[in-house]
Amino acid sequence: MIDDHPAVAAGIQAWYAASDPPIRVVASGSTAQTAWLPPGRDADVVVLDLLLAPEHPECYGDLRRLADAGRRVIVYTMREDEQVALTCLELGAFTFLTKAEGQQHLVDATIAAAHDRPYIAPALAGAFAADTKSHRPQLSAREQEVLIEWFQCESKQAVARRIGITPNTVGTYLDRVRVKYANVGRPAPTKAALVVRAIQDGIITLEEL
Amino acid sequence: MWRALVGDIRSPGSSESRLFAVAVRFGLLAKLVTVGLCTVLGVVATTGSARTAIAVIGSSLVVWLLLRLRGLPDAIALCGDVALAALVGLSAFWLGPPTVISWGARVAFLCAVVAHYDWPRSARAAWAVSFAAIGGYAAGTVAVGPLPEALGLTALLTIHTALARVVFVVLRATARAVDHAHERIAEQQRQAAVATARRLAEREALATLHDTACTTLMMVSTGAAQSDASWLPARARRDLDALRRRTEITGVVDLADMLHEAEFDHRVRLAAGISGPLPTSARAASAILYGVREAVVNVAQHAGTDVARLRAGRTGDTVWVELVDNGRGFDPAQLPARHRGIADSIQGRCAMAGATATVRSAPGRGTTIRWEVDAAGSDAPARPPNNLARFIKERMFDGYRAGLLCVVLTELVVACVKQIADGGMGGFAAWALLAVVGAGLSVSMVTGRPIAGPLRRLGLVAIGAASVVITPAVPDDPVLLGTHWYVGLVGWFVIVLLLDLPLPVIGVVLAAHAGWLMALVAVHGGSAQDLAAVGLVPVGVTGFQFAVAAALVLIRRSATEAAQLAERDEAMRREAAVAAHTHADHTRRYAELSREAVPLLTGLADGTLDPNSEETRTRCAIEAARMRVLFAERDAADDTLIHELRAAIDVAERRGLTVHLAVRGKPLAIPRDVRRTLIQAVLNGVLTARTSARITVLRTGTHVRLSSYCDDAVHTAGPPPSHPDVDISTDTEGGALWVQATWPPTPARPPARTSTTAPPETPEAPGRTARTETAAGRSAERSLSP
Repeated sequence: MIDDHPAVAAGIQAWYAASDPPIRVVASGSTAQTAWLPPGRDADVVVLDLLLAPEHPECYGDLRRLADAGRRVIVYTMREDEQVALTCLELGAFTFLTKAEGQQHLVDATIAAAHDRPYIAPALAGAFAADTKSHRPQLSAREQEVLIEWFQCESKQAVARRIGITPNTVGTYLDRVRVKYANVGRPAPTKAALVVRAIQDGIITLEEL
Repeated sequence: MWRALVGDIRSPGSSESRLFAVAVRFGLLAKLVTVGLCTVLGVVATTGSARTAIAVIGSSLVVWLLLRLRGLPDAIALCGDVALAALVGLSAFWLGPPTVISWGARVAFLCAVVAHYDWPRSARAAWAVSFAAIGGYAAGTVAVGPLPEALGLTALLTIHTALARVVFVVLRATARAVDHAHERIAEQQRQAAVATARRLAEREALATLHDTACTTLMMVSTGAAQSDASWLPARARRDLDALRRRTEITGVVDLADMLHEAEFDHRVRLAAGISGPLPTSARAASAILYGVREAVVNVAQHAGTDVARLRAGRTGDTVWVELVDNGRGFDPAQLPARHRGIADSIQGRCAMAGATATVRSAPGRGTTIRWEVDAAGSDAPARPPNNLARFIKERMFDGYRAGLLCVVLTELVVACVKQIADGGMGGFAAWALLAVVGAGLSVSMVTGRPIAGPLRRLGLVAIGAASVVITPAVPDDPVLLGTHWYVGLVGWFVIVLLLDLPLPVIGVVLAAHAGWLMALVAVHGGSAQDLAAVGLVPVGVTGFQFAVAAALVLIRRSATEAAQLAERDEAMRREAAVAAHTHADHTRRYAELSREAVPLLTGLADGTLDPNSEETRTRCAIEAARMRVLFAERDAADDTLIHELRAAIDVAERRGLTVHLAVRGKPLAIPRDVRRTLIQAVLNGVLTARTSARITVLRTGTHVRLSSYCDDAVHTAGPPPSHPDVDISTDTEGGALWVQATWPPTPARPPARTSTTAPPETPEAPGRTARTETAAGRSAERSLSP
């Protein structure tokens, strides 16, 4: 866990301890060193606070190096804007969460990451929905609709009711979007693992990619 | 050009009609005086039947002109003019050959030339009179005199008539150009005045709205009436009055009276020390009064004290009002932009009304607000310099001088022909000198550089030199002198050269010239009869020239008066335009308020709405937020939608709601009415929440979607706003309320995807429980599960 604010680190540790199944924090520190040296070297998931400030020019670099080494990185940040989110995913981050999204999303995302499963929180869904870049993956109308509504209401039940599908199906649509994003742009081992797992789980087929 | 020369004309503008009026009056007067004098001189200079003819024809012409000056119907005036012109021309039958006495030639010339100024509105009438004179003259001279001379004189008369017409057309074109230019300027000024007035009225209306309805509704929405609602009906009534009233304020009022009578926020005890009378403009008084009211509300809400001191008085020509509290104070530089009470109501509105407001405050040191304005009577606003008169003067002057220059140059050419016929070195030298001056005048005209000072004196010296040089060549015979080119030409030169000088100066120079001519004849020892005959020449030629100069000077001098008249007309038209537009704006604004604000305030005023019911408070909050968005619309913001949305969210937060705002995507240019509808739609949703709500803004390159979601809505809000280009859908489920607003409407979704691309579906939930309302009714239905 890489965060330069001790209170945040302590809070996350408490959330993890209370989760089911419990998550163990093997190491915590304020720089990326924590993830490269033991005991952090063996962690399944890295939670990285992205401090995009003039005094931290190395942040994207840290993320890229970790992703290239096959580490599953969850970017957990104060930043809200979609460009940061999309850049992090492009570099190979497993998922992107804003600190405002809080406990449940972080716990769920960490468990999903440990199993190479996709996870899209509402903030990231909004970033995908607002993405107008040319190399954006091709999304179906329904996938786009689910993205938007998940961003708007933060409740899979509400989205499901509104569209007339089940909450699980909502989750499936979101996962498909995540996998499609993993399949475009710069290759990274984490992205490959995500895609492989998604095909194994039957979320998406090779032909669809 | 042909149309201008012969055609009838359209209805004239102000400069043009002034030209016409002066032309008619001076045409008749010049003719009257000149014909009168010529007739007297002619009677002296002749004997026998010629004398009788001159006396009879001359006096009947004078009587006729007097009648015309008193006013005659056009048809009769024209018939008389034509008949008399023909009679004057035919007078040669009784006077003998034109070389014997020049009376006939002079008067025929006057009739033919002046007709174009007598009849400015009808070219046909003018030509009818001219041709009667020319035709009669030709018939008379051919009948009695040697043919070549008769034809030459007739040709000369025709040339002069044509020249007079050209000059008239140039003058008229100048007047029209001035009228057009004036109309264009006036139109631009009118548009600017209307735009300014509308902007001012809009600001005034928004400031009023802020101080009255918006503040009251905010207070109700935040529960200010919970402990004591007794103040509310009076305040609501006052607000309704303020909204109904048009913000059109004029005249002088006593500010002291207004402050005494005014009702201020009941929560503050005001210690008043007002020493009247304080005469101020009603506009300034109104601005200050509203400002004080708003400041007292601020004291109640923010100062942490319920006591303030209000003082007002007059120091010299300055009326001042001061509101002092000893509350907690604030740093004016740190005031957030959304708290716009101080910025708009107090200072902005005062600036509009010519008053000033200064705020002195510091944390812990209380607040002092001081208004100052010039006392009424001492603040006569300086009228902006009136450029119009100068503009008209300059433009017309240039045009008239151009017209006269045409005369000079044509006469110069005619003179050249005559001089070649006459021969003689002195004549050629004089002609050359005048030609040089004519060239100088033309250059000045083309380059637009005026001739004045030394240059003008040089020109006069050259004309004088020409007069001296030509002396030996000037015939001493009065008849020959009368037809010599030099006599007429010099006068026109003098007028063009001196036109911008006072009339007496022109008169003196022309008189000196006439005296010079008389002297030439006198030194050769002419008889009294000869002198009288010679007198016909300066009277007939120079007198006419002087009349022309006098008319032009008069027109120029009356330009100021004319400009003032035009300006007054224009001011009336401008006021009418401003009144029409601001009235329409006011009606439109009131119509917008009539939808919600007016019914709410009416209900609060007559007690039919309970200010403490949750529904009323929510409605008040929604309407107050709508007004806040209107105020925010005037700010310059990078992202207008978000700026205005935040202004609305501010109202929700003041009610104690937690609002999460998430924005994705880049700003998009969105029309103002669409922004209003989008914001209003989600606001309806948010303000029904009990504790918290999520607002999202999602902008792709082509679409913007606003959404509000809360899972603990108290009740449903009123009907959503509608806009033809905005899709609004509202879902309620249990306690949740979800409003989505999209612009522009998304096209109908394509049918469900084929099964090969469909994700593995889990079984459907049994039936939909969501109630869906759609607004604007465009493609808002969602495709159900595939």
